[in-house]
Amino acid sequence: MRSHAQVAIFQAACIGPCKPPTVHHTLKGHLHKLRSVRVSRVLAYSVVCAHLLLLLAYTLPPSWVPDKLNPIAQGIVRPLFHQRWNLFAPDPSPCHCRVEAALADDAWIPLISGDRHYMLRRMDRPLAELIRSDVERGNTRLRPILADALRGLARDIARETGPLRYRLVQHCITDPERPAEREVHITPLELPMP
Amino acid sequence: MMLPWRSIRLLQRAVNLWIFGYLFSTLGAAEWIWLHAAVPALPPPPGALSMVTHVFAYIPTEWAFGAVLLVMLLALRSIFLPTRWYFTTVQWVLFSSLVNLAWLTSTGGHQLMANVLFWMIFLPAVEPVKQNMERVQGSHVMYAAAGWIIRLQLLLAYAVTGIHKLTGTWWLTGDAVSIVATDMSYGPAWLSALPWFAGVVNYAVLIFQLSFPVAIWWRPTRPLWMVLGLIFHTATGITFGIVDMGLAFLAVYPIWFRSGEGAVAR
Repeated sequence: MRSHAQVAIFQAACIGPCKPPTVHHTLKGHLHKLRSVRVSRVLAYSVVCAHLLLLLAYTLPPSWVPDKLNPIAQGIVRPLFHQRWNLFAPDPSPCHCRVEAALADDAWIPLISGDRHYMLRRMDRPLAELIRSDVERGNTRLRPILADALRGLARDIARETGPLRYRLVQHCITDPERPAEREVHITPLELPMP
Repeated sequence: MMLPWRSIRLLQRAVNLWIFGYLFSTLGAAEWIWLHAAVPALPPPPGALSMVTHVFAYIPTEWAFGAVLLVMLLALRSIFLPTRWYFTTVQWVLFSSLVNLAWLTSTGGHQLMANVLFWMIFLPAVEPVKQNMERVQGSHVMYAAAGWIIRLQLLLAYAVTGIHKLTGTWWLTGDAVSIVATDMSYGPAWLSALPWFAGVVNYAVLIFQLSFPVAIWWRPTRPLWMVLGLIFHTATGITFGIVDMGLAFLAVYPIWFRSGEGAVAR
């Protein structure tokens, strides 16, 4: 039995000559609807679970992820959904580091001064961190991409003074309980030819 | 399983507003970032999929400025008009490529936005009518899946960063915030003069990030944790100079708003 409301909806939706559905047709329709709703739910859950699994495999600490899952996550997540959630993690960097450039009179100035646009100032720290990790591995001769980045960011200084020299300045903590006391380490940097 | 339409629409508006605001804020440095990029682009990761998100590895990087203007224009359109899937697709491809081009300035907030944009492609442009959704089962499935993936993506960001911190040393000993505060790139340095307070902030951050996914899932605690998130992102954004990253997280919060949820979430 259809309710008055259902009949009213059917009549409202019926344009032109059309017959009301029989009880058999209505039951069949309900079963079909129920099945398709279930299938669509399973499909939606599957998409969500598969994506979440891949993201977890990509973003969690590597030791938490099974070796077999890692290449699949790298192959799919890296190009399309790349993300890293390790700002100040697992530990904050023990060293503040920046790159400095030498002018003709041997005065050292920051590669990116504090009065530049915030997007430029933001590049200073990650670039210096990348260089620091290279230096820690014993490479004071920079990788070409880092050397090009240094030259690119210092292009307006170099235009006025000619070829520049660069150095990495690090202020490193010696005792985590007294982080304000920091040692200064200076490392001259060697750039490959452009 | 379906998410409330009001939350979806608010998310679409907030994300597009963030994209417009972020790209607008970069225009002052366009010469260095988009027109004549000071920093070379990273080589794209292997595989054909990366062609979609690293288009500037294949076309001249000078075109990036045009892409910035186009994405801004589309974002502005989607704030006021229905967010069409084909416009969102263009936005996702270009925005992801811009984020990858300016890799040295990108933060987790930019990565979050690029991911959310992708799943927004599958969200409806206008409020779905129930009868229509039953007829078009495929879009129904993708609407539900995309909405939930965006929800879970937000929770995953907090949970994973908390887990990473648990695998370190200084977050557990309570020294991490003092170390960050005395770093000249971040601050505030006065925090290290109050070690007990820095310790409290250290553990509060850890607890907040690890509890966020659970507290947001549970309705009674959801509003409070969203307020805590607002305070956390505003404070870190201003202190560390990453306001855009904080706002990116806040722009995704509407996907968890519960308005009307009882009626449609079954």
